[in-house]
Amino acid sequence: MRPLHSTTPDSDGEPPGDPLTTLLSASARGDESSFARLYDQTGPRIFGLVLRVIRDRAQAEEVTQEVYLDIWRQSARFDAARGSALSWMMTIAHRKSVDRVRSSEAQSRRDTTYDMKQQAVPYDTTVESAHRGLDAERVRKALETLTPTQREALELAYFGGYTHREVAALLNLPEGTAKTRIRDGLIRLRDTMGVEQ
Amino acid sequence: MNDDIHSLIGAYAVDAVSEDERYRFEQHLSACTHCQAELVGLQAVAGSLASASAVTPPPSLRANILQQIGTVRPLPPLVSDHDDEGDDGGPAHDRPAPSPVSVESAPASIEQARERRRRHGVRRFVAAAVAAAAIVVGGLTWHPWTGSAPTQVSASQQVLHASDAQRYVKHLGQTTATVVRSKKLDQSVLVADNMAPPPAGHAYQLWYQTPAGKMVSAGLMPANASGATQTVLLNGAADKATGVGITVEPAGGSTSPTTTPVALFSFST
Repeated sequence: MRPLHSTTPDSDGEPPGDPLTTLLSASARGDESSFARLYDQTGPRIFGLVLRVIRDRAQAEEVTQEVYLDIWRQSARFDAARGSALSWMMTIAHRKSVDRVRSSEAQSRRDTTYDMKQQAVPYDTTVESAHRGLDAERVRKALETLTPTQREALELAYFGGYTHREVAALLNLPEGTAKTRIRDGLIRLRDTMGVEQ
Repeated sequence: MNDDIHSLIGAYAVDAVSEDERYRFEQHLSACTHCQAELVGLQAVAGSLASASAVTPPPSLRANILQQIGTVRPLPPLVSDHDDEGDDGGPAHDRPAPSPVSVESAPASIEQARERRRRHGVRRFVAAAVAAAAIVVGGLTWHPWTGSAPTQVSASQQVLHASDAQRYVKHLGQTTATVVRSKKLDQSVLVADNMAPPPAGHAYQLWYQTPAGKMVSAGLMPANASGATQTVLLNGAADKATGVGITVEPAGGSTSPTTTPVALFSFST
């Protein structure tokens, strides 16, 4: 599994040998067993991301299911020139997760009077014991090269699902600064990890 | 365009933009090859941030997903060339929402999908509800927890698949409740995901609201395990009803609501 797109932006994208790309194109032809293998190879990554953003396990399962249904439906529309298959899937998963946390917030504000008694689902501790591979190690090292503000801004945006304006407010930054911190942080990560690859 | 819009690229890559900014950035993106190229790398980096967060999903999720995709055909590849500019939502999107499995004509890319969602906020809402319904449709053939006789299942399915099906969604904490109504079939179905069990000795009761504002019982929700999806066909005439309510009542139900509804769905909009 390659988390990073190592080719230059102007190239033709992933080599045809990328196993996830192959599984995606087979899925586009309706091959359910290829999709099952695609799920097996990406499930922990996708579910882990969704769970980290949404935090509630039941909702995370629901959103992960929506994510994979979307991936299945859209599989023929994946364009390797626009990034790796994994990156495409993670982008879909992140967007859906952020949509969910924002909409449930908006909804819970609206529905407070009708709020249903909910059984609390404990935050899953397997997040802490998540398996940490080489990718994770590399990302962690790269994160250390960021300034604390860049790192915080990036994590609040990506895992917290906050907009850059909200991030600015949370970090007491002047409005408009958080977006540049986020951008600069991403660029620095890209360059650091790109060099190592 | 201008520096300001260029500088949104990082926030855009991590979905840290408002809907309005997303729209403006995607407008810009469609014309800026520099940003297009840069975005590829930034989105890849963003995705790699989560590499330390991998969590093994429960086996049931795999089963649900694989069972569900069996009911949905992947969209065809785009073979014509009107797929490349973000600006043609096209008249196709003004059609009413079709049946559960074909949500809408697919966008060519995530960017387009996002833009369309932005520009068709209501449609997105409908599509989400449709997707929720589709999940349930997949579940009906497999899961014993629907707990209903086969005829009842097929009645629910008919409503969910009805060409005139209207969907009303409520998010209540961790619960997503969707009422799907077919005026033609004069029936409606409640689809509840992850609904907490009612207090001991109580049950969730469903109600139709009549045009006169009266609440008429539409039956009780069967008890189920927390976290599962429940699909309940409502008793009574849906066509003339103005809404659906859910209340907590003593086990066995009441003749009229005795508590404040936990959810109300209005059919008027």
